[in-house]
Amino acid sequence: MTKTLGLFSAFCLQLAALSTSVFADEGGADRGKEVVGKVKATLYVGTDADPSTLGDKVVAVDEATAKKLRSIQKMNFKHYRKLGADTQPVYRSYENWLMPLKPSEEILLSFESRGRSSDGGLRLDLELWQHRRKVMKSDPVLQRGRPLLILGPKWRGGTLIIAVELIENSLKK
Amino acid sequence: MKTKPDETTLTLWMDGELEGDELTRIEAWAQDHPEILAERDAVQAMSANIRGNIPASIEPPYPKFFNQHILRHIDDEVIPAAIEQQKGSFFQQFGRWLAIPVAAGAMAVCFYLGTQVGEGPDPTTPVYTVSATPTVYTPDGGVSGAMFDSEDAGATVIVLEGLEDIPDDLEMVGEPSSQRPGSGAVMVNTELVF
Repeated sequence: MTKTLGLFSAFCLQLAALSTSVFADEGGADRGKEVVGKVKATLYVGTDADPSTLGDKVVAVDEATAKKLRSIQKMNFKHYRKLGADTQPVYRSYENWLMPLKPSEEILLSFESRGRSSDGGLRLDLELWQHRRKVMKSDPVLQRGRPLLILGPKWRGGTLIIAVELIENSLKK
Repeated sequence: MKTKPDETTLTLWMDGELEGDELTRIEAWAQDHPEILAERDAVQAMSANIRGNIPASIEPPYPKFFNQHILRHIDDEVIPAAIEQQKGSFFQQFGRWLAIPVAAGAMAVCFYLGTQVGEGPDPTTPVYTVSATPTVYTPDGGVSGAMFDSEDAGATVIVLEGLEDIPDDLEMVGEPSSQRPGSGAVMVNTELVF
């Protein structure tokens, strides 16, 4: 009797697996690769020293951005410059990378969707990498128009500021 | 016989059940122990008294009724067991017939459950119905992290302290050459963030 039940259970599992594979084939490509949003990382440097020490390739930041950054005590500097930016899609269940200093890998951000938050934001698993070494891991909820600002390492007398912003979020309730 | 016999032998002697040489030896030993002889006499007198007043066996009253009563009790014990056995076999028979539709139903349920995998609102990206508080983790023990909201800036802020400085000789501006070789332009996105 036990053997019969075991065979029956195995048959049921096979049947379930078969039906799953049939419907998965009908669904087509891997849904995990579906793009569900877009994020952008922008790398700034803030300094109280002469910004010319940062080099001639850096770009000045508009006054509105500088004003917002100055309103945060830890990020209050006299001068702000932009070093680079990168925009990447958010996959439904795959990790992706932001390289704001492309092709340099000195500062990297890896991210992966953890789903839509109850207030309509996008929860991410976010990791900051410096010199190919993970230095921070977080699970922020990004909202459109409300960036995540990370005060990072120092460079040439200034301090790096990484802004991560949600550009698109197509995840629905 | 100078040594005292064991208790078993002594009891058999008092009951008058010893014979032969063993009886002779104990009788010789008992001659020197008058209290034992007196005890034996008392035991044998009591046994004779009992035998004289109580018959060796007594026939039960109404023997036919007695035997019939015993048989009825035996029957009472046997019949419920037979009924239980019949019930078990009945359910076993019924279970065999019931197993077929049950198996078919289970297979249908399994198939239905299989078809439901991959469907639903969003199986790979769960919706957080509870607003969990974000956390910051720094693998390096020398690095600390703090997260807070800045309403003035309209942003969430993470402050990391203890990170290694980036070497000053490292060029930190993104180069466009990997994407547009030969253009000579500097890849600096001028789009403003906020």
